[in-house]
Amino acid sequence: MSRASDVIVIGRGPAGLLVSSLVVEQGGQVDMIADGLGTLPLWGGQFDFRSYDNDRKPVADPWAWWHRFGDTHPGGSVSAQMWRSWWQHLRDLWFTMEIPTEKLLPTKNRGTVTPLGRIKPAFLVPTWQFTQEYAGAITLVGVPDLVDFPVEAMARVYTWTTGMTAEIRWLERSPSWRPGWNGLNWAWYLDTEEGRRWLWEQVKSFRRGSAPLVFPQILGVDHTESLIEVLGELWGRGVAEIPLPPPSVGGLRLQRRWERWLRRKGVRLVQGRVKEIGGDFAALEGRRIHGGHVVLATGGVLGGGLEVLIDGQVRDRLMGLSLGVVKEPEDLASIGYRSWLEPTRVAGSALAGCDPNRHGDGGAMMLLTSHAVFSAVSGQEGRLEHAGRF
Amino acid sequence: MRDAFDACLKCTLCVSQCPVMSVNPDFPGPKALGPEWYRQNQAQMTAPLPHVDDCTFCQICESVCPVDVPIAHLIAEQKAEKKHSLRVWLRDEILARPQWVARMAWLGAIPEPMRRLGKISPGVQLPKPRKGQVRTLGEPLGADPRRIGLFVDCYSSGYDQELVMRARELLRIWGFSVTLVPGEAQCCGAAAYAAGNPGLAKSTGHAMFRTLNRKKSDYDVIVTLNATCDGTLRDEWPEFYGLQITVPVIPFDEIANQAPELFWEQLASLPAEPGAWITHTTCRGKVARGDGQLWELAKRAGFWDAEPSDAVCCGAGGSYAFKAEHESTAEQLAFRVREQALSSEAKGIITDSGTCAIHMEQAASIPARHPAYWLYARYLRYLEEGETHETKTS
Repeated sequence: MSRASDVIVIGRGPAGLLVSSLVVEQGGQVDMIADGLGTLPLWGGQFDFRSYDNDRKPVADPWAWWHRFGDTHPGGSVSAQMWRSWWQHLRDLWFTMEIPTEKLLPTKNRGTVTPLGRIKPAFLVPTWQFTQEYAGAITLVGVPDLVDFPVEAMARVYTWTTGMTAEIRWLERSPSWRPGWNGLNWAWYLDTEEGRRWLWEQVKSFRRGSAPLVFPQILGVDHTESLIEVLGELWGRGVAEIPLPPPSVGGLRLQRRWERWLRRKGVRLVQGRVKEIGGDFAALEGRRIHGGHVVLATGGVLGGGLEVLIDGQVRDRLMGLSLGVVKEPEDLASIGYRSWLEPTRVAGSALAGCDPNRHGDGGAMMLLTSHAVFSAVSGQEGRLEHAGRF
Repeated sequence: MRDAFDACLKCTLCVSQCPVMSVNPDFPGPKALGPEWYRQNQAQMTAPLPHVDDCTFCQICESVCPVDVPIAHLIAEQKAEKKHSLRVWLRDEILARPQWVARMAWLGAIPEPMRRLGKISPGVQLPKPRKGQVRTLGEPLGADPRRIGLFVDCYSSGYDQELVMRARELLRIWGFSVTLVPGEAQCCGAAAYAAGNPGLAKSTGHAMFRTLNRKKSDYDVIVTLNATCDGTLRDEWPEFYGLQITVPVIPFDEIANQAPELFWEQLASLPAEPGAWITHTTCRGKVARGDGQLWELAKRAGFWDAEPSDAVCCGAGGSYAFKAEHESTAEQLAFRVREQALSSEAKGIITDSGTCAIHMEQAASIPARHPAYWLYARYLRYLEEGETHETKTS
């Protein structure tokens, strides 16, 4: 490659995609380098603000939650206005990528349902995912032999935990069904004309109901919205889905649409393992890629950019940096690249002290770190200004 | 290869990205066919699974695997254990040696009865030799001390000498000295590996390696015209063939981006190429280098309305689409290219593989050619019209 980009983003997960999007929106050139794929197809595709408190109790109002922390937590130092602008931006960005969400940002967490029938908080979700403000009656769609969606158990748990009815309608096996099909197999099938027509006939034959019709997440990969629209007309009520375990169709839809948008904006998706980075380059096996800035977005579920040594030292293998020592669990809060008050060039959901898997705040931390990185790379003197793109 | 064969986390990222699974409901997918089958096979002799041959060996599964399981290569080992009828075996033995096919290109079209007997896809267009004239493009625009070994893959050797000549002429005016290697129709081994014959792949690759080595004093860098050969020489040979090529191997589109600025300025003086264009980085190109380079090259060359292809894999898969049992899968994989071409009313496709080009050309009914073909055509246009445009501009 002869020409330098403005920003090199290492990592292809949600944080890498968002940082890249922020740069190209301002006319910058981005090279995304990844040795594999980001983690989007491993999760349902909802972006959480703050779902649970420290005792694992659901948080109703994430806006208020962050405000109470003040400067004692990265999320607390962000004003409500700033959070709103970041979430609104993500929502608008998705809109341009044809990832549909509600027009207005949520004022509170809404409730989605897990494949075992439990209510789970959710903040920003595409409209194909089932959410509700208050638990109500639902009609679940059972799919034969889909082991990731035990619909009868789910209906019992839902009724037991919410007191609301959960009726079941069963699909038949489609003529194209094969043993062992998972949600993604179904989704590819329902992207075809044959699959769509088959499903329309199935829903037409359902005994009517007055509650929303809730499918497992199988309603196509690329043609989901049009399918849901027709099903909604046939059923006469809302139609939506519940995410399943990986391979996650919701996350896959996001990944395909997001990367398609980036590729059409000229982002180069470079394949390869980074061996070394400097202030303005990333070296891969046999080639070196130059850019104005280097951003690390490698810390995802599978990214494994970090290693914990037997003596408790935490190291960034890529940069050869020691990030701190963990002797006790509480030490985890103190490790990191640098203080969160400083501009950082590391983006991801695991900011020091946060536990996105436990607290459901990965979306918020990803927003915070990605925007912090963007501020750092676009606000500094240097090649970006020289390139005249910002 | 053995280092990570049992490292599968069952994360299913490979499943989520497999192009064959997206169109073929029978295909069990990379996780089941690769690490899961291999594990069972180590414990007890497990028969090959049905539809293992439906894998195109695109290697997208390997490229997304977070723990480096050589998924496609494990599937190739499973393919090797599958028994076929005599005529299918014979057909596959021939197609696994594309250098033989290339040497027979002068024979022309395969007669219909032989096509049926050999279980060659009835509806798929087979390659025909392209014999366009190539004229000189004038004096070099710069000087680069690197001596290039232009790698003539078996397909280009037998069917697209025109492309080879166009690429050579472009490299010459960019200031390189160019030698054609290996100098005769030989294969890097990729076709045999994809067909499930790793042993043949290795012996074929070693023969090619010896030929390249004999000429190694003639070049400092190898430039490839086919993404599959590119990835095979640079990445597959050291990892799976035990071969280490000592000079850099780079695809044509990367060396093109290093062409003298004057070349790009001259192309920029022409009006933009009219209409929409699709840039399709083949699956093996994505695996080897990534995506986006072709699009950038197209824009830079004046194909302003170029858009990247939405297809992960076009389904050509070397000789995959030529096999009757794969015709439907190959056709459905190419359908996405066809849809995109129709919706954008594209004038042509820019792609980095000859066999993918003919497959997409048939699917989309528009010309699909290598970037060297289009760059040459554009520069020729500059030579014929450029002076007029420059005069108008001034």
